[in-house]
Amino acid sequence: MSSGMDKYDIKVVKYFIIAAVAWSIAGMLIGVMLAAQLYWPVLNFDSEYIQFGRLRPLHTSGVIFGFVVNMLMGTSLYIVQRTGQTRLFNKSLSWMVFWGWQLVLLLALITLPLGYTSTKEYAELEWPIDLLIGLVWVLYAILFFGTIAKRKVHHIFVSNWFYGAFIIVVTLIFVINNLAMPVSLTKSYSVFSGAQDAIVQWWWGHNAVGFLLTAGVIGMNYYFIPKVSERPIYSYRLSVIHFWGLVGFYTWAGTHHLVYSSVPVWVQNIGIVMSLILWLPSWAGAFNSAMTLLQNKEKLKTDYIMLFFMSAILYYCLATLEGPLLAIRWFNMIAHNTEWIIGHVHSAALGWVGMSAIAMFYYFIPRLWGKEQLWSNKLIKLHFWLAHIGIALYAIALWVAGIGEGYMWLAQQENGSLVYSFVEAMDFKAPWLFVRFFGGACFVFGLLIMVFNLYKTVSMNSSVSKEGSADA
Amino acid sequence: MLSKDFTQSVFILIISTIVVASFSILVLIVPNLVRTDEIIATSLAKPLTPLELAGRDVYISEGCHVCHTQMVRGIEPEVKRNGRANKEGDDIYEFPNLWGSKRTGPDLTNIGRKYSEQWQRIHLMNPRKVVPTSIMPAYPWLFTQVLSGDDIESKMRVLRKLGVPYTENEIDKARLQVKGVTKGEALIQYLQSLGNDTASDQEH
Ligand code: HEC
Ligand code: HEM
Ligand code: HEM
Repeated sequence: MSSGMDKYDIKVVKYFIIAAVAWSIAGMLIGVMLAAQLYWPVLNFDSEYIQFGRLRPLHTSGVIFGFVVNMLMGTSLYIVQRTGQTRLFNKSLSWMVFWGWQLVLLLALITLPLGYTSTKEYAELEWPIDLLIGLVWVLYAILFFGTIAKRKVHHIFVSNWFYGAFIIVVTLIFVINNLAMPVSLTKSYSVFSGAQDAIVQWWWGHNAVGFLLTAGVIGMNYYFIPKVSERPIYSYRLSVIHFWGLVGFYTWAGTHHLVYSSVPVWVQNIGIVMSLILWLPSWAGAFNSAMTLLQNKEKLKTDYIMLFFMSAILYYCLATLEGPLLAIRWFNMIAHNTEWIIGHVHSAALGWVGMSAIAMFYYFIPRLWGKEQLWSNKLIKLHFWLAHIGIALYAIALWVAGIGEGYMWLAQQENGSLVYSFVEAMDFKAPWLFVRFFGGACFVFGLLIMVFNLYKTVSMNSSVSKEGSADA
Repeated sequence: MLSKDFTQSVFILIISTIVVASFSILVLIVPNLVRTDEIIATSLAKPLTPLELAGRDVYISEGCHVCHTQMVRGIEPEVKRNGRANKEGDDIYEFPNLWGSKRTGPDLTNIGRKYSEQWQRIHLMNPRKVVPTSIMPAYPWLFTQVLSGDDIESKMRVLRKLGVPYTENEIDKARLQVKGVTKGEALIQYLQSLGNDTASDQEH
């Protein structure tokens, strides 16, 4: 099956994957730094550039746009070639997308610490960078859909639907959410205000989650999970249901971020109901992927890449069960604005996105560089357990911290007066924030082991090693 | 071409995804964006003064909103803790909204008259001076960096285009009010203004 690199454009894929690995480390190290600052405030160093308020958007942008988007661009450009049995639609375009996107990230790295921000979560970058993002994104869309259009097989493979939806929906929501009126090169004001702005903002915020961190990663997994388990996708029909379920319902659910706020109640209720509905297609898709892995039980017992994928799916199940729960008024009353939400975010971000990415890296990187075997199986095993311990500590610590503070904020005496001050709740959760820091550090330590292992794998001078056999 | 489905035609894939994903824009987004006049009609909000506006931009630029919310939900203990619950009309001049999503620190919607300016100064210079276990960063540089006021007029003009009723007279005088003030003092003016415009509306 070795078809050689001359048949496909592999080099740009490699670049994207390297960028994704680099940003995963950088973005998550910043995450660990944030976690440390919330326990040891001296780590803000009285520096305007790295104090928590400016560092936090750099973390979210770094992991979402650096790590995840680089990963999705790289894998999508590979998968669209392989499943269409054709080269990229235009090679120079692919390099423009690559360098354009790295420029966006570089500008983010410079402007966010300087305090240029729109404040909109996951869309903090100021308008000139937004224009650049828009341009690169359109080029990426042309490249991706252009390649689908020139495919040599009749059928469009499942992964490409999900990548396609990711590209299209992100375009829609990005443009509307970022509409702003410039004051200067570095300052603008959103054209929407107050309650209206919040609705638009969370329509984006939730769909960035739904289409970047969910649909895109699902697309990637629909290709790599069958590859790794050496079995076809369990049910084609289920993947169709999964697809339209996500595209159809996700875009409605954003207002579950605004429950009990001052936006109209019917708007909140749509968000709540759609969140509950979302549980179904989410678990249907998870079932489909889990069954694909389970069809090869023998390999699942011993192969850590399979186990990473399986863990990712289990964490996806957890996050998509917890999510609808959090949308229910009673739960949201307690959880909103607390550490519980951060815990939910990271069970999904580390458990689902992180573990999927790790599995993909371990499978794909050796093959991109023409290797069959990992340098060390012991180290991948160690990484597996570090990752699990890290996420478990992260999630458990923030359940305790979040539910605890949520309860303390609301607790009232018989006569109606409040039981706890804000500072009491803050002091209560402090040790748990330390546990979260420790969990996060374990997770990043695991990643560093992965980088070492993969570096050794790629630089091993064994086997066929013709640069980039595309035998993946 | 239309005899195919989305698994066979890239054109149909693109169009059907756009159509299905756009329903929510029509039902959820557009109806709320066209209600501006209705929302304004119920509003008690007053535009910020130039100095408060400059302070708000310091608040944004330092990222105070990543730890502080400005949205009191209409739940009894929450109102007890943070003051009057937000109403839809309160934030008509908030371009963009600063509701936030995480309460690492307390809600600031109604912080306006809770503390003296001196308390705010000490707290911003080093929060642990007043709250020993505080995990809020210290912001000492705010009191050494001075605003030039050069951009305040264009900011107000942009906001006026967006619907904040600044008069030409106010805009003309803005620069002199802002020039030479430290970022910290401007920020404190902004903090002290929070919740004042709605303070008269306390029925619950
Ligand atoms: C790391 C998150 C964090 C950041 C960033 C942050 N704060 Fe705080 N803030 C806190 C915490 C925690 C408290 C509660 C303890 C205390 O009073 O210091 C607090 C308390 C406050 C209070 C007192 C509220 C009350 O009701 O007692 C004010 C006012 C305040 N912060 C303003 C600001 C401003 C202005 C900024 C931006 C320059 C800012 N904060 C940035 C975490 C943060
Ligand atoms: C070891 C790895 C990581 C650590 C230690 C970490 C830590 C943190 C911390 C401390 C915060 C701030 C929470 C707060 O304000 O209270 C945060 C926010 C956030 N992180 Fe991470 N993070 C990590 C990995 C990731 C990854 C991989 C992703 C996404 C793929 C991610 C996405 C986010 C998001 C979206 C938020 C904002 C959440 C919100 O506003 O509710 N993080 N992270
Ligand atoms: C069925 C699926 C899901 C539903 C219904 C859901 C629902 C929710 C709800 C109700 C909140 C809390 C909003 C609040 O009160 O502030 C939330 C927050 C969040 N969720 Fe989920 N969730 C789901 C899956 C996921 C997944 C898979 C991810 C990430 C990969 C994710 C990422 C986030 C993020 C980043 C936030 C925090 C946003 C913020 O406040 O900054 N969610 N989700």
